[in-house]
This record gives sequence, structure tokens and C-alpha cells, in this order.
Amino acid sequence: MNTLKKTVFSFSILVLVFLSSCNPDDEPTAIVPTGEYAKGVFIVNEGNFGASNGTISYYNSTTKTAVQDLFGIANDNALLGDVVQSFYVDGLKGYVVVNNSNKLVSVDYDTFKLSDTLTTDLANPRYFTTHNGKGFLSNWGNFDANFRLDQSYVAVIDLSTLEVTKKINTDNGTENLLVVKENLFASSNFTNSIAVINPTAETLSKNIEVYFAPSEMVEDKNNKLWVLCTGTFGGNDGRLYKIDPVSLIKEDSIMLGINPAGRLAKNKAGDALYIIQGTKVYEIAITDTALPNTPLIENTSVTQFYGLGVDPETGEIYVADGAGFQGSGTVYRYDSDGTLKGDFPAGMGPNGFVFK
Amino acid sequence: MLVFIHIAIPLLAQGVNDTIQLEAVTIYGIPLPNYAVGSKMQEVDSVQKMEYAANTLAQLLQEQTPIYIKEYGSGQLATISFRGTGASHTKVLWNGLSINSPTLGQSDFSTLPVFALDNIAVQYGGASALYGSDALGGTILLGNNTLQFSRKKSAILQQSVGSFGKLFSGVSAKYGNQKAVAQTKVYRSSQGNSFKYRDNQKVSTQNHTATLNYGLMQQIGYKFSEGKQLVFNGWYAFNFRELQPAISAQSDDVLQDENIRLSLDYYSHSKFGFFNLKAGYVSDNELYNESSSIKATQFVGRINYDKKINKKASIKIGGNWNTTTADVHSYQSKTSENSADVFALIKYKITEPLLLSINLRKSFHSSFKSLFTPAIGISWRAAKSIQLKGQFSRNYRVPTFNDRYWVPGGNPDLKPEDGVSGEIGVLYKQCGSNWSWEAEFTHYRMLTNDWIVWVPHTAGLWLPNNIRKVKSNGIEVVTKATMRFQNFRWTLGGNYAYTKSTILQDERTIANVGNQLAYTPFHQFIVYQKLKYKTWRWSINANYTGARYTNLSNANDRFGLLPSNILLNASLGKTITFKKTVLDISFDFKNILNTSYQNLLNRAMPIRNYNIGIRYHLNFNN
Repeated sequence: MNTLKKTVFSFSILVLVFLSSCNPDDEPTAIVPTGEYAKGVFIVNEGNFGASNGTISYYNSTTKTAVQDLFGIANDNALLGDVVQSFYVDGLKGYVVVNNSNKLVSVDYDTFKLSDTLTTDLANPRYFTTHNGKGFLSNWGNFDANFRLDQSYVAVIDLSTLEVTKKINTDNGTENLLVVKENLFASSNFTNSIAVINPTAETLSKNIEVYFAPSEMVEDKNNKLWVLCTGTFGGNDGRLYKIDPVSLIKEDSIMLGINPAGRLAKNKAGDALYIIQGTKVYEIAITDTALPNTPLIENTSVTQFYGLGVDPETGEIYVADGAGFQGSGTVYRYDSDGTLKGDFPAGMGPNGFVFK
Repeated sequence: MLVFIHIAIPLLAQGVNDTIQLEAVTIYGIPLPNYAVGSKMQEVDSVQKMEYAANTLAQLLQEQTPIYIKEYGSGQLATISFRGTGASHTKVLWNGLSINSPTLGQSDFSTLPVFALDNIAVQYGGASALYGSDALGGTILLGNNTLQFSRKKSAILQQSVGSFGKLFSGVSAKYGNQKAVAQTKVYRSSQGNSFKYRDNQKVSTQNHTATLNYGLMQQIGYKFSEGKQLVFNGWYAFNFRELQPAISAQSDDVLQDENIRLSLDYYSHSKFGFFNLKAGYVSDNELYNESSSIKATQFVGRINYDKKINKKASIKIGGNWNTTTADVHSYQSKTSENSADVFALIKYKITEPLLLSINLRKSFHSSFKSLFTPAIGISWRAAKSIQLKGQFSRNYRVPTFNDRYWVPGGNPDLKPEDGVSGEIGVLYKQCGSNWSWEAEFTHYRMLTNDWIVWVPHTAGLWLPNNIRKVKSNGIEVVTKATMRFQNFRWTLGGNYAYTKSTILQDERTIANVGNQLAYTPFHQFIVYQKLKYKTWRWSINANYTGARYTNLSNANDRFGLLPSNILLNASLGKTITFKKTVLDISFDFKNILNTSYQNLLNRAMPIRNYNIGIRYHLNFNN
């Protein structure tokens, strides 16, 4: 009894401390986002290469309305840049990686007001993530005269100053980043390897060999890492790898029999994965040994699915039609059983989603 | 005995050739465009060529014709959109040789300096019966003047200096005797690596945009005897540029192109008719970031025979053979193709005011089924000042080497694009003793099937496919009035084009059906005035380009639609004559209104800028 009382007492103190920290006079870390875009879906629109028309769109899933070009609206029509590759939100800050402008743009994610821009020490930046107050940004490096990359790396970024503090060299075409169980995984898309980085020591611990063109990664409900390899051009040899994030042992590998797009998402429960190819969305359970013959979704009115995401609260599947980059894209929303729920317009070349 | 034909080419020239009359030139045979009865022609006159001597053909066409030039920045890659078609739907000929890149299928008009071109003519509409593949939207005819065998020697020295580090130097010389004559041209033009542009209300400096172009052109004619001559034309061009990035993007890429174009013609005429044998060689070598990547060579052989059968009919028959080889880093191997054409062109004067032409061409290709492209044209002088005309033709475009051999993606199963086009027009011309007025109205319709588009297939893999059907139709109005009083000569003119080019069918993106093609303004017009007083000249040119979509969604947002813009340019010039030399000084004022504009989305274009040019023309007649 005594122990219980003690526990309840200490818990109430904890609650009090927590509640008092909500007081506006206190630490800014606890400020909750109140801006227009605090809750909803962000869509990353790459834009056409060399046209600086990359944008971030916003979709309010409650009112079912879409807003285009958030950065332009919030910042006097400023351009976000050329090839908006990815977007990441940590706390109140949103980080936009602009590939061909070689920059990382930080914004207050709920208002999309510009906060800071990092333009130095980057070379073809791709994806961003944070861990324990540090930022990590994958960079392909520069192409030489023969279209070969000089050196890919993961840049370590001081989030307070938005400066690169260190570069960790990785294999060619370092792309997607994901932290699972204190390890930072980086897929090197032009090779067949995954870099394992110790985010605290900021060192490369190991390279795990997978299959050609590893791209997006997710963490399932059992905290296992899943890596999608898109395979060789036209080889119908995409693969999924299941890797233990601690022992780094490859526990499973599934031959897909198709060349999927480099997108991977998990369902709400974390026990099934989604991949896209052409006009189709496939669902594969984490216990499956092969890709089902029939796709979960097939939409013949789209040009090609290019972006994929799952709302972690509702489990709704969001798939973006890139429209061959000849016109602006469209996002289709599906129930987890594959029923079409609606669609809304996106910008040029929608490639991914961020759910808040 | 001598049957030289004296004509001012082209017959239906409606350019703004006002201040200096076109020279009547002596030519062998009837030039090809003259067989296109009923088609619309525009020739750039010598004054315009002088005013644009330090500029590129891209600038001239943009400011003087209703053709849309897609420019990746100042002095950067500039491709053409003619009558709502794409960059590879306009044939570009230099002395009869096709200079469209065989690998990419298009020409970069920023690498064609006006100084190097004696003749510049624009033929509107489809003309595959005359020129073969690529002539769907129109044809740009470039070339050297026909040589005059004489002892007359002359030279032109041209030097221009402009804003943002622009420099142009050119030397041209003509020399020879009654037996052999030659013309040599050398030019060099460059631009600094920064210029000022306006965007979002503020003036910024665009970096990484330096260019350097130089070239040598040589023409040699040798007369064996009256009516028999050999003519050589050669052009070496070197073009280097820093690739200007989009606004807010970065680039350290550079591109270098070297082109060699050679042609050798043998002309002969006798009582049996005109005869021309031609051999041509075109080589393009492109280096991206100093690494060799794209090489293509073309060998051309051609034979023409012209005969004026009687007072009413003339006929031209001939054949053409072409072998193209491409050595491209992204192809599996060095690739070669052969094509051959045979053609018969007939021009017939039914009655004095009624002209008819029937042009037939059959094209054979090592990779495609043969194609038959006929064309029929008619023109009728309905009254003294009114001419009615019409034309109907089948036109095509063979897929480019890149479309078929690029790895990955190249699709060897592509079919040629195949289209039909028709146009009708009215030409009105009235003259008084010291004034003249003319107007031309044209309406055209064009349907292109199997339009090739690169679309995504499986993950990351893009393939070109014959998936689109495009319908274009439009209206073009050209008008010009000239007045003369005492020492003044005043010209006022206008040029309007309405272009609707929409997707009729698209197998991959149904949502775009019915939409206007990208970078195809519905409305474009040019208004100009030219005033000449004794040795002074003053011209103003206002150029309106209507709003145009940047992609196929036709959305009215800031990335989907470039707003309409007006560009105002002016030029002031003075000619000073001393005995045998003429000194010409000109001041050009470009973008006087300081318009913030783009021809391609987020590609900066310069604010108001200036150019001073001095041209020294020497004649050594003896």
C-alpha cells in the first residue's frame, strides 16, 4: 500500500511539473504548434528538374482541403528551390531538403515561415532525420565528368546553428535514413549496401550487403528494419530485406518478382508493408514469403504512382500519381482494405508524405 | 541561250524588307520554297540582319516573328515552338543540309549567329513533301548568298559591345575574279558570367551564365564555263557555355559543342534543264562537363533536276540519300542508319492568275516503313491586289536516335509521328506613288498522330511512346504600311498569332486531354515602327507574349502559368559614307520597360540592357 501511495504521490508531482511547464512563461520546448498547418498531411512535390518549381502541399484530412505551395504563401512568394526531395519534422521545426539547390531549409512547420537555410558543405542532399538533438542528412556527393559520384556521405548537423559539423563517408548514392534501436541506417542506392552509423559517436560501424538499389526503409511492430531494394533496370528482381537492428543479421529476404518504385510504407499496426509499382499498390504481411499475385489497389486512370505514405492514426493509404511530370500530380486516398476514399490535387511530381 | 532565272526569293515574302530592296539574285534552278505554292513565307531583310548582326537567331526570331523561343536563360539553349508544335517539329536547313541534331532531333538557336547567315527565311507550316522529316510546324531556311562571279572585293568589320560583358566581333570578306570567288566569315561572341534580372520585385545577379561562341565560314565558287560551277560551303562552329541554373538552383555544369557543316554543289544548266549534284557532311560533337559524350555525323548525297517544260509547267525531280552515325555514351554501341528519298515537284500555271503545285515525296528508311508525303498548293490572284491561297499536306517526323537507342529507355518500336495540315490565306497589297499597304491573313489546322512522349513505365524507367494525338489550329495576321515623304520613310507594321494546340488523345494521362500544350501562348503580337531620315534610322519594336502554361495541367498558379509580358526594344542608327566605305553605328536598347519575364519557368532573363555596334563596310571595286 505504502509503495502504491508513494507511487501515486510521485506521479502527481510529475503531473504537476508537467502541467506547470505548459505555462507560457516557461521553457519554449513545450510550446505546442498552433499554426494553420499544425495537424495534417504534408506532400513533398519534387518539381521538374531545372525549373525550381518544387513545393510542399498541405492536406487537411478533417476539412478535406488541400493547400499548395506552403513555402511561397508563407514567405512572400519565395522559391523553395529546384527538386524538393524530402521533408522531415522534428518538434516544431520542419526541414526541407532541396536537392538541386544544394540546401536544407528549416521552417516552423506549422506556419511554414522560413527559419534558417543551410547551403554549405552539401552536395546533392537527399534525406534528413534527427536523433538526440542532432541532424543527419544524406548526400550523394558531386558527379564528375563521367557521371560518377566523387563521395557520398551523411552530414552531421548542429540543429541550433544549422551547420555541418562532420561528414561520414558512405557508399555511392546514399539515400534514405532511419534510426532504429540507436543505430542510424543509410541506404546507398547506387550500390547494394546499407551503412550502419553510430549516431552518438558519428562513425560508420558497418556496411550490410543487401541487393541492388536499396532505397526506403521502415521499422515494423517488432522493431525490425525492412529495406526495399528496387533491383536492376527491367530485371523484375526487387527484394525486401528484414534486418535485426541490433545484431545486424539479415533475418529474411523476399524476392518480389517486380521492380517496385523505391517507396516503402507500413500499415497502422506495423505488421504489413506497402510497395508501389506503376499503377498498383501491393500489400505484403511481415510474415509473408512472397508478394501476393494481386495488388491491393490498381488504379488504371493514373499515369504512375510515385509517392506513398500511410496515415499512422487512421491507417489510410495515400498514393500520389506523378503524372509523368508533365502536369501537376494527384493524391489518392484509400482505406487500408483498398477502397478509394477520395483524391486531391498536389504539386509537380509528388514523391512522399509527412503526417502530423 | 542563258536561262538564268531572276527572282526575288521568296515570291510571297512578307517580311519587313522596307528600307533596302532585296537584291535580285541569279540562281540556278527554282529554289525549293517556290514549289510550295500557297505557303506562307517570311524573309529577314538586310536591314534586320544588320540590326541583329551581333545577336543570335534565337533573339531575332523571338523579336521579329510570332514563333515562341524556349530559352533556358540569356544566351542559353534556345529551342523553337512553331505553330504550337515541339522543338523537334521544325526543320532547320543550312544551304540545304539539315542541321537539327540527329540524336536530339532539334536545333539550338542560340548557337546560330545572325552575322554568319546571309539568308534567313521562315517557311510556315508543314512541308515534308519538300524537306522530309521534321517539317511539321515550319522550316527555317538558312544559307549563304549565291556567289556573283566578279572582281568586286568587299569586307565588313563588325564590333559590338553590350551590357553584362557582351562582346561580338565579326569579319567578312568577299574576293575573287570572274572564274573563282570566295567569301570568308569569322566571328566571335561572348557574354560574361553574370547579368541582372528581376524576380519577385527585386533585382538579382544571375551567375554561371558565361558563353563563348566562335566560328569560321568559308564559301568558294569555281566556274568551269557559263552555266557550270562548283560551290563549296563550310562552317566550323564552336560553342561553349556555362549552364545557367534555374533561379534559386545551383549549377557548375558546362556544355561544349563543335559543329562542322560542309557542302559541295555542282550546278549545271543546259538546254536539257538545270542539274544539281550535292554532297554534304554534318558533324556534331557535344561534350558535357568536359567529358566526351555525344557525337553524330551525317553524310548526304543529293541529286536534283529542274526543267521548265513549257510556259505553264516546271518540274523538279530528285533523290536524296543520308547516312547518319551516332556515337553516344548512353547507347549500347555506335549506331548507323540510312534513309533515302525520291521526290517530284510540279508547278503549274493553270491560267495567268491561278497557280498550282503538286509535290510528292517517298521516303525510305532502314528502320521504318516507307512513307509517302504528298502536298498540294494553290494560289489565285482574284483581283489586282488580292491573292487567295491554300495548301494541304501530309508531314512526318522520324523518332530521334535518342528516342530509340538511349539506354535505358530507348524504344526501338517507335513509329514516326504522322500528321496532316492545311491552311488557307488571303494576301492583300495596295500601292500608291509614295505609300504601300499590305496584309496577310492565314488560318491553319494541323493534326499530328503518334506524337512521341517520354513517360514512366516501371520503377524509375522512362520510355518514349507514340501516345498522343495533338490538334493545332491558329490564325496569323501580318500587316505593314510604308509611307514616303521627302527624305522620310516610315514603316508601321504588326504581326499577330493566335495558337491553339491541344491534346486530343493521350493514352497515359487522360486528365490532360483537351489542354493546351506547354509554352504555347494563345496570343502573341508584335508592333513595330521604323523611321528613316536621310542616313538616320530609328526603330521601335513592342513584343507581346500572352500568358502560357508551363505544363499540361493548365493550372493558373505561379508555377503553372507564366504571365503575359511586353518587351520593348529600340534601335538608333546612323550611316556615314566616305567614298568606297560605309560606316554604320547603332545603339540598341533592349527591354526598355525593364520587364521581369521568363521564357521558361524560373529561367532568369536580363533587365534593361544596351548594345553599341560599329560596322565598317569596305568596297574595293576595280
